[in-house]
Amino acid sequence: MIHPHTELKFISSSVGHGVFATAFIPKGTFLWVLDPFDRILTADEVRALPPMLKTAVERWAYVDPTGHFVFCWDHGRYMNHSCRPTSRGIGDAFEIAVRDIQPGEELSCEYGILNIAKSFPCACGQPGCRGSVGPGDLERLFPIWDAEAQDAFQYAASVAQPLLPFVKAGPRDHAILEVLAKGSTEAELPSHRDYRREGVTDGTVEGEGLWAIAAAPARRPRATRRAGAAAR
Amino acid sequence: MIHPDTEVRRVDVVVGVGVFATALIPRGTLTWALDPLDQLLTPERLAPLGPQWDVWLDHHTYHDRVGNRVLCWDAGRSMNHSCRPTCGGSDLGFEVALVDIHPGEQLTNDYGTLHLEASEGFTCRCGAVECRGIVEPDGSAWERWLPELRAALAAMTTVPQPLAPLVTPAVLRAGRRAVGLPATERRRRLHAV
Repeated sequence: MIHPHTELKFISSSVGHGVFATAFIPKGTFLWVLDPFDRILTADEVRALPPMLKTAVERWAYVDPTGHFVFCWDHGRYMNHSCRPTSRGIGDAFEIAVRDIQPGEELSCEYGILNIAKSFPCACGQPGCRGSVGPGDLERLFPIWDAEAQDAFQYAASVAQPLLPFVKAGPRDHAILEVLAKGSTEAELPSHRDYRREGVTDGTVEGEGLWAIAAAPARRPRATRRAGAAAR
Repeated sequence: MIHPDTEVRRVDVVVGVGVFATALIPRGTLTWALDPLDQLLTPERLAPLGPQWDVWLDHHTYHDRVGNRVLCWDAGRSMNHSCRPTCGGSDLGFEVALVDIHPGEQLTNDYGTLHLEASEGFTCRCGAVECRGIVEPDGSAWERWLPELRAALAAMTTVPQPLAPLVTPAVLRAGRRAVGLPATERRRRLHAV
């Protein structure tokens, strides 16, 4: 679930939509949490979808460490990538604001941790833009991302957290919730590196979409499938 | 899934957002179809949720005929009520345009057909000549729109149907039977574009 003080806006035909703050959101606020209504789909379930829905999932879902597609029910799924994102991931279910966000500012996250199959060119325009975002970025940059998340978490108990009642905690999130319930932020956070799905290296997997890694292992060559259908 | 020639726009601070046509959607067009990404929330699935979800459920889901709630994955969940709706048929598993919906006009439902609970009545300011003023649980809402729905379904094969791939022949036949049309229509006669 995306923070309530946000809205979906159309940016351009090349970028599509983005998520924008409608009010000031302070550093340390959870901007997004995984909730019970975010759809978790297996690669087989995605493959069985009608083509127009499959396209939607491939465009707007991300891939978690178990290879499942996570398709957010709300406009959280339209958050764009930035090389200097407004939030960092923590555990399985949180995105935390790593700086103050002003009304009208776009919310962004780091696609480098989302188990993407292939590199894509980035034109986020931020200082330090990597120009290209790829599966190998995580291994190189996780210490910086971890440090930003750890720093932001120090503020998590002293700001309003409207999303906390709605979180669906994963195995790595219970410790975070316990600490926050005590009004504390004394916790060693799980590393971004733990979010990596095994086998994700740039260029090794061919896919139809950005997130095709999860669907790849069970895919059969297209020609074979067509031939089978014709025989029937 | 909602018809592709639509967009979500802010209406005002009271109503919030609504779904508007961006191109002409002729009468008989499938405007929405229940699809595999929409979620059926059974009472069993909702039971463990705490009271913090009540407002959310009221805002984002509707009741189906058999006591589940339905959460649409896309703009379908943002369709507003009108006492003179432009769309109808949700119980059928799809909706059709009851009238020609012109660019800039809103796609609406009569919430009276959406199995409101006793506590879910509301004051209506839809502005239609037929406005009932208060929208309440309403057993006769379905019958009220039956003639329009029947005419719209009869016109289905005469207009482009981008959502045709999401409606199975069985669902289409059952829908036609439910409004009193012969159940002979075949999906391949719908022009998917």
